[in-house]
Amino acid sequence: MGFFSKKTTETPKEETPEFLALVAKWDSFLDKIKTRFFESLVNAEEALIDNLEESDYDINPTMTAWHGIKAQLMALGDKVDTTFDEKVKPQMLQYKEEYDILDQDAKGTFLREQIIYEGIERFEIVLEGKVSTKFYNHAISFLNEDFNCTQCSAKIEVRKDIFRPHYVSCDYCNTVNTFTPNDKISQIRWVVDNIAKHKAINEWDEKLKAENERSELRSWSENEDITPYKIALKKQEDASRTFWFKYFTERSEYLPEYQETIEHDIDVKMKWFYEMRKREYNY
Amino acid sequence: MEKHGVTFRDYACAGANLAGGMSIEQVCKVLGIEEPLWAEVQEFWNNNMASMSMDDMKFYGEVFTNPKQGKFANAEGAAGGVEDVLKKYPEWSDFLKMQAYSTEASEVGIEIDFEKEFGITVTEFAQLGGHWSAYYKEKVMDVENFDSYAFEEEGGPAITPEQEERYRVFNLHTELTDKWTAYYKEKFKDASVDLSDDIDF
Repeated sequence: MGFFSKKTTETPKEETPEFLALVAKWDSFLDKIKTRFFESLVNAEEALIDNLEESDYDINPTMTAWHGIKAQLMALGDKVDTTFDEKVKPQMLQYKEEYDILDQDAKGTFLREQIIYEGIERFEIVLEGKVSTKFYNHAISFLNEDFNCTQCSAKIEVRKDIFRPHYVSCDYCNTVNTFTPNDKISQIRWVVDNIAKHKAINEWDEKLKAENERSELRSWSENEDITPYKIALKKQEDASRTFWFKYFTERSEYLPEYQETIEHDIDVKMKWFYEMRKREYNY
Repeated sequence: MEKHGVTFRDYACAGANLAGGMSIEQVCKVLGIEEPLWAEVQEFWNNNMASMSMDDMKFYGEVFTNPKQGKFANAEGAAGGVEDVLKKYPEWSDFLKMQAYSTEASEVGIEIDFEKEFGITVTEFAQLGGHWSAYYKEKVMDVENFDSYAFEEEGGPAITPEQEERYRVFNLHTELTDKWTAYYKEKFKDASVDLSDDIDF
């Protein structure tokens, strides 16, 4: 089945065979780009996980490699755009007026914006989540190594949920020691955010959906009935709060010291929403 | 608001000096705290960044250009300011070249080593970026664009010397950016992979 087969079959019967052939060719091109995009995501994930292992869990080269792959994926979207402007449109204009081929342009825009660009954004969350989880499982093992009191050499238990330098008291002689984690342990603090975001991916999907639904409404003007806008804004507000609640709750599973600040952290993240609502909808 | 006696601006200066090569031990000495407390300070201010005022965030954005401020003004081992790196790379073209290099390398998944390639740290590169951004803002963004239609068709005000300068700086920026981008695109063309080179219309 073609990429936009439904729309293609809706084309009026009086279309010339030459134009219909161009439409079919354009659909086929978009289909191939879409397939290549999804194949590339699978290959990218495998390559980046391998990269992490081969670099002895140095997360920076893996993320640099991701930037390169991301640019290649984005280029697929650019190609859709330039192909329509430079090849498809000039050929179709031989049979149609410009306003008659707007729907053909829209097919490309849909693939570029909704499938490729939004797909990359979502894939990035999943990828960073998986890479970060793999890194976490590796780095956390360093906290099982022995740490001894500087005064009496007794073995000291180090907490498994603090990844920065901190004071640890010796149970035997009460000396206060400073535990300074190695670089891998220190980095755990930053990968935890990626893991939490990945775990909240379903809530992220709902948040994005609500944002898109609200932004698809045309701009509100003062004399217009605000009810449909309020409904869309409420949905966006609820979806955003749900996402941030899930995200901060997941984060606090790894960093219990943040358990108490979840409500505050959500309020900070929601600040922009209320500012936007006041600015654009005046309430 | 402060954490273990460290204000947001102290924290910003400390971050700028750390990025500039000062050791954690030296930073802690200047702030008068031990490393575990510094770790808590970092955590605290990172989490409160979104609550800071515009003035504080402006300070945070600019302190990396001049880390010798506040408690770090006369500190031993404090990172140098932008003047030091401008002595080495005084031209706008120098910075735009580095920027294009970094961007195009990143597009093909390569991280460039600024110290090896240009003899400066990433922080010094960021300092140059701050310096030239401020220059562009002053010369272009803060000057009202010349309205040629209003002048020619409606007898509007003539172009001012500031607008002439705006025009020159704007064009110079475009010309230099295009030049270095083209240069590095060519340099990396073999490293770039086209995922759809077998797909055509």
